[in-house]
Amino acid sequence: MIKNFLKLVKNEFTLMLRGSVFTIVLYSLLLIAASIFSLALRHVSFDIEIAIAFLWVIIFFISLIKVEKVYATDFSESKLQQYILSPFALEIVVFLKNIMIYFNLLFLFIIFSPIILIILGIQLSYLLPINILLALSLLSIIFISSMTASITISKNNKLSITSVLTLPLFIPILIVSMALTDVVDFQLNKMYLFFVAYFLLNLAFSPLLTSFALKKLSV
Amino acid sequence: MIEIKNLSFARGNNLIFQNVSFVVKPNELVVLKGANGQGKTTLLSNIVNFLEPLEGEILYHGKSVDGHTASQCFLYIGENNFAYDNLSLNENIKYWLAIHNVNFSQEIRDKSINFLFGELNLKLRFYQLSYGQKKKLQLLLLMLVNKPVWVLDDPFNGLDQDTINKITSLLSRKLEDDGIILISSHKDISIPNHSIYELK
Amino acid sequence: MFAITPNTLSTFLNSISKYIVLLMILLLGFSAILIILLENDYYQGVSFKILFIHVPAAWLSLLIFSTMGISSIIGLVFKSPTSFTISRAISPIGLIMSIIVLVTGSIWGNLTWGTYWVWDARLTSMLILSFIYLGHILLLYSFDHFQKADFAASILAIIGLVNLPIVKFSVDWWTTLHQGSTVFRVGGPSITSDYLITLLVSFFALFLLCIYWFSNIFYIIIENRKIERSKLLNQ
Repeated sequence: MIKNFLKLVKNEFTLMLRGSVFTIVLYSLLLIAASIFSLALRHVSFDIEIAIAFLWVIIFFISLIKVEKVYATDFSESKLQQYILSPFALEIVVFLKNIMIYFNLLFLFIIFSPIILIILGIQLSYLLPINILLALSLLSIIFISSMTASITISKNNKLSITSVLTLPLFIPILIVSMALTDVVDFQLNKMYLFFVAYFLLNLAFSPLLTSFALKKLSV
Repeated sequence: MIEIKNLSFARGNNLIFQNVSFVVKPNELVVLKGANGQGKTTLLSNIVNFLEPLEGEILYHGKSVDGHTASQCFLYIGENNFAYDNLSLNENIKYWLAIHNVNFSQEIRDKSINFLFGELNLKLRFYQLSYGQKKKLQLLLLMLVNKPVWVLDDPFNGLDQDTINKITSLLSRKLEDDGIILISSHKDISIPNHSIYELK
Repeated sequence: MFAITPNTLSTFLNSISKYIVLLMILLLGFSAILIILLENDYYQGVSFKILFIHVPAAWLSLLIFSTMGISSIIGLVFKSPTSFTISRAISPIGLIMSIIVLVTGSIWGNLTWGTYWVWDARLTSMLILSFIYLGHILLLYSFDHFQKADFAASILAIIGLVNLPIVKFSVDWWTTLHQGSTVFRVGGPSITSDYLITLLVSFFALFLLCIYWFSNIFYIIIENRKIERSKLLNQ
């Protein structure tokens, strides 16, 4: 069982690598959006908060799109049938896929981040804090997106707008990320504990709910 | 032994089938027949617990089938292929055998892969293969996954005579091992003593 | 307890509905009288009277949301159709209550603070609550079959139930960090006992209204399902 699990992890990793072309396309879109944003506001002097808020909102959408794309292809009906009848619980597969999406998005963001910060006019001293913030919050974002994606990709679903409607659920992350950027010293405070607690909560709930939704709605 | 009692299923407000009852005993093969749209695939998905019936029940060895027994005892092969297009054939084989927790030695694996794929280049990406070649990945599961019940949805569709013969030999060997097999098919099967259930 | 079928609950609600209506009318009249009397006592302008709709509706919208979330959890764990039907019937009422809170709140806000909307902690979290209600209802009607819709919507309700306190906390922190000086307080005197009694009476009146409304929606859903099922089996 453990041997097969390790094989599974290895193959999921390969799948993640092959899927990174799509992530690169998404980050290129982010670059274009950032260019338009700063070009339009070139005569206005604005706070760093606005640029970071813009960046964060775009990253929300990128992770939503990425998670939905991966779920739509990797949990298509015939694949899902095999996953359900396999000795591995569907929760494990969901968890693995989420973690792989996380690494994929995070590593590519680290590569892209200097360019994005320069385009948005944010000082490069913010590079490390922003990357650490993203590393902390992206896991929760992806786990929440996976829950909404599992509802949205269902073939029984007539409206595909549910992922937009669950966007309010991301607001805690957005707000805390914004608050953290104000902390100039960048030291450990209770906000980080909040992040960790929020992530653990998502870790406990979301694979369960996601796999439940997949089993009930998509087969 | 699988017992199906008074099964009815509706999709939305559309009744698919009604009052289906039959029994499949060990080393027995039952072929579901019926025109398109009579609910053959739906009935099979009901049996492996993907869908919940409107009325009636499905018993395996006297107990009602739930998710756990389904994943322990049933092997389901659907019409559509489940492999990943952007993995190679070899990677796909490894992935799906790992998912099904196959513990056979490398030697037996190689032998089965050789039996099915012959001289085919295993490094090819999956989307480069033809329909029949893709279908063989599903047959590999039949050879290597050890579960008492097989539920196969139209396994002969679009295959050449050679592959059909291979499937037939797999099926008859499974029946000798006290296996239970449920098949939906339009074609006649050259296995002696199989029974037919007609969906109306 | 979870063995109650939707039918028995529906007949039970029907049998007590006339008492509920009677009590509701009594309480509504009583609270109206109390509110009029109160207005004679305090000369804060007409605007403060809106409090007796605003606050009960806010309490109710939170109460309904927690009921919805808990009944969704019970429904998923015990596979009880009654709980699913309860959360299906209750969520439109919750949406209406949260809209009432937002509308009365912004009218009141315009009269006292001179603006319809502020990105304050309470306002933001109530807005998010009504978004989740809206998502829940849309999800209920975006599936072909009610059982699938119930599953999807109950998952959303659970996500919302877990997230709502977090939204509340994070929004609180956010406002204390960013605009601590503009945190507003309800002007006027602190709550006296006659104030409180009026509030409670109007809350119970509105609560009974919700229950009456809920029993009607529940009854309609159950009857529709009976008709659909009999149609289906006689095809």
